[in-house]
Amino acid sequence: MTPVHKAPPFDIELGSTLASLGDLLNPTLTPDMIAGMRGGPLTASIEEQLVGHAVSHQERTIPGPDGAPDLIVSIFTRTDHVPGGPGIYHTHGGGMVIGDRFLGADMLIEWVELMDAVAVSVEYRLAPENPDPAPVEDCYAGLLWTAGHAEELGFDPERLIIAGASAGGGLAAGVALLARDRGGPTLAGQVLICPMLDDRNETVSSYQIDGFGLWDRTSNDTGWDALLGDRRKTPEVSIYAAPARATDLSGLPPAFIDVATAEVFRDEVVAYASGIWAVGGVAELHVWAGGFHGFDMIVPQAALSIHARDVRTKWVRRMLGA
Amino acid sequence: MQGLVWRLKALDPEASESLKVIAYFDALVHGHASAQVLLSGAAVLSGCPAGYVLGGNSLRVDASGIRTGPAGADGSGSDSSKGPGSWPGHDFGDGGRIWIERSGPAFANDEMILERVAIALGISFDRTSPVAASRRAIEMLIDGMAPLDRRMDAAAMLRLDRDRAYRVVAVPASAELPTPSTVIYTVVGPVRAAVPRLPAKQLGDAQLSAAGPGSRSGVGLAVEPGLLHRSWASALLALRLTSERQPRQLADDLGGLLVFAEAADSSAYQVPDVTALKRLVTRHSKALELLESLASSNSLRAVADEVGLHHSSVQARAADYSTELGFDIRTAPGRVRLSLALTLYKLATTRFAL
Repeated sequence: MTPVHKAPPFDIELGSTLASLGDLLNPTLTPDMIAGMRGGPLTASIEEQLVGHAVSHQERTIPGPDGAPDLIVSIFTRTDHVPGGPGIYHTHGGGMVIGDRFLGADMLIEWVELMDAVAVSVEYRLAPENPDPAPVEDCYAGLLWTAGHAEELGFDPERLIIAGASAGGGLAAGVALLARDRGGPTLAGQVLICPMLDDRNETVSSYQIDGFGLWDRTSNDTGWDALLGDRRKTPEVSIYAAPARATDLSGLPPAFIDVATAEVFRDEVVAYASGIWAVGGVAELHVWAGGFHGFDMIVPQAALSIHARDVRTKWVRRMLGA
Repeated sequence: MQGLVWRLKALDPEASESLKVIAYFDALVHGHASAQVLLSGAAVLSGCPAGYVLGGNSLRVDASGIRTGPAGADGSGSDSSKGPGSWPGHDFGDGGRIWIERSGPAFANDEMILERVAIALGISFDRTSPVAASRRAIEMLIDGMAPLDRRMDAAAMLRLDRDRAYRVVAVPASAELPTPSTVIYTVVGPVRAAVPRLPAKQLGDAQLSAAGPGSRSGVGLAVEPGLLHRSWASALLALRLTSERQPRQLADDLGGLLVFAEAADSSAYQVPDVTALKRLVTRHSKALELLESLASSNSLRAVADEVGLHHSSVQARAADYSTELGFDIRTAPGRVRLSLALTLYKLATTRFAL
C-alpha cells in the first residue's frame, strides 16, 4: 500500500532542529547498525542525569522468568522518601534491539521528585539475541517482583502504574495484557508514549515515514524482524509481543496514550486507543501535530515538547492522586 | 532534560561542525518562529545558557533551551551574576544583544550560531513590531522608485487619506519625532523621516518642536499621498538648508531655491563665491551668522539688533566681508549673490550623523 499523500509537516521548531542535525541523526536503522548503536551511549550517564536532583539510585538483581537468567532493575527514590506514595514501573525504549534501563530515566527522575514516587526500571534482554517472548516476559517478571515488593520498596501497591516509550510503550502495553490474562498485579494506569504496537507495518503512517524523521518504516522492519524473526506478520505473533493484534482490549487499566502525526506509529496507536474505547475502556489519546517519533526526548526545549510532557505528567498525577 | 543538548555534548567540537546552523535558523525564520524559539535554538546548538536583551525586554534560557526568566533574575547559577556584556555575543536590531554563556574556550560553531541567531532575531523583531511595520510603510511611501500601488498600500497602512495633502518631516537621525518615523541613509548622512497623519495645514510648530528646542527640521511640500516622495525630496533639501539661525525650514518658503538646489546637487562646478565663503567662515567663526542675517534683513540696523552688535560694527564687518568675498554684500544684487552662495555653502557642507 502506497499512501497517496506525503506525511503531515513537522512543527517548525522540531523540523528545523531535525534538519540542523543532518547526518548526526539517522532516520533509518538497519540490522548492521545495531551493534554500533549499542556501542555508544544513548543518554548521559545516570550519575549525570541525577545531578541536581534529590533522588537516589540503587540497583537490584531480581529473578527473571522461569528458567531465564536473573534481571537487573534500577530503583529511583527521593532521598527524603516517605513510604506509601505511588509506584512507577518502567520499560525502556530502543526498538527492541538497543537501549538500556536508563533510557527515559529523566522522566522517571522528574516524576519521582514531583510525586515522591518509587520508580523501577528493568533491564530486559534485547533482540535479536533474545527474541520474543524474552523481552516482554522479562518485563512481566520485573512487574511481578516490583508489585510483590511494594512494602519493601515503600510504595502503595494500589497506586502502581506502568510506563514506557516507543518499544518500551509496546512492552508496557504487552505487560498490561499479560497482567490481565494471568491475573497478575492490578495496575492503576498504563502510560504508552508513542508505543510500538504492530509488527505488520502496514498502516498509512508506516508508509508515509520513509527515509526521514526518526524511526522510519525500515527501522521498524529492523526492530520487528529482530524480535519476531520468521514469525513476523504471521498468525504466530502473540498479542503480548504486538498488542495491536489483540482483538479484546477490555479489562485493561486506564491508558494514557500519545503519539505524533509525523511518525510511523501514528495510525496503529490511534487504532489501539479506539480499540479500548470500543469495549468501554478508559483511554486518553493525544496526537501531537507536527511531532516526529520521540520528539519530546530529542528536542525537549521545543514548545510542543514542553506541552506534551506537561500533559503527560498531569495525567499521571491525576491517576495517582499525587 | 537531555535529548539534543546531550547528543551535541557527546560530539566533539570538530564533529559539531557538521551541524547545519545556517539551515536551522533559516528554517526557523522562514517558519516565523518566535524570539524565544530562536533563543532556545541558540542555547541548544551551543549547549550553553543563552539570553538576549532588546530595549526593555530580556529573556534567558538554560542550556536545554528552557526559559529561566529575565536575564540575571534567576539565582540558579553563579554565572548568571555576570553581565550580558561579558559573554560572547552579537548585536542585533535596534540596540539588541544576544549572548551565549560559554565558560571556557569557544566551540567551533559558537561564532556562527551567534551570527545567525542575531540575524534571525533581527528579522523576527522587525516583523512583529508595529513600530517596524510603520517604519517600512514610510520607507515605501517616500521611495519614488517603488510601484504606486505599493506606495498606496503603505499610505493606507499609515491611515493617510488619499484625497488629502500631507507633508514629510525630515530631522537629523539623532533627533526624535512624536510620530512613527524611519531613518533614511541619504547623501548627507542618516536622516529621520516621518509623515505626520495631520492635514498639511495643521502641521504646526507643536509637532516640530517635539524634536527638541533648537533642533533642526525640514518640512516638505504639502502633497497627496501618491506624491509624498516629492515631499520627502523637498523636506530633505529644506533640512539641508537649515542653520543655527534658522533651525526650521519649510520647503514652501524656499521657492525657486528648490530647483536651484536640485541643479546644484547634480553640478560638479565649484562656484568661486562658495570657495571664498568657506575661507571666510574658517577664518571668522561668527561670520556665517552675520552673513545670513545680512542676506535676509532689510537694514543694517535690523541686523545689528539681531546679532547684538553696534550698528557701526555691523557696517565695518559688512565692508570687510565684501572685500574678502570679492563682491559688495551691501547692495541689492550683492545680497542676492550672497544668498545663493550661502545656499550652495550649506548644501555642500551640511552633514548629519547618528
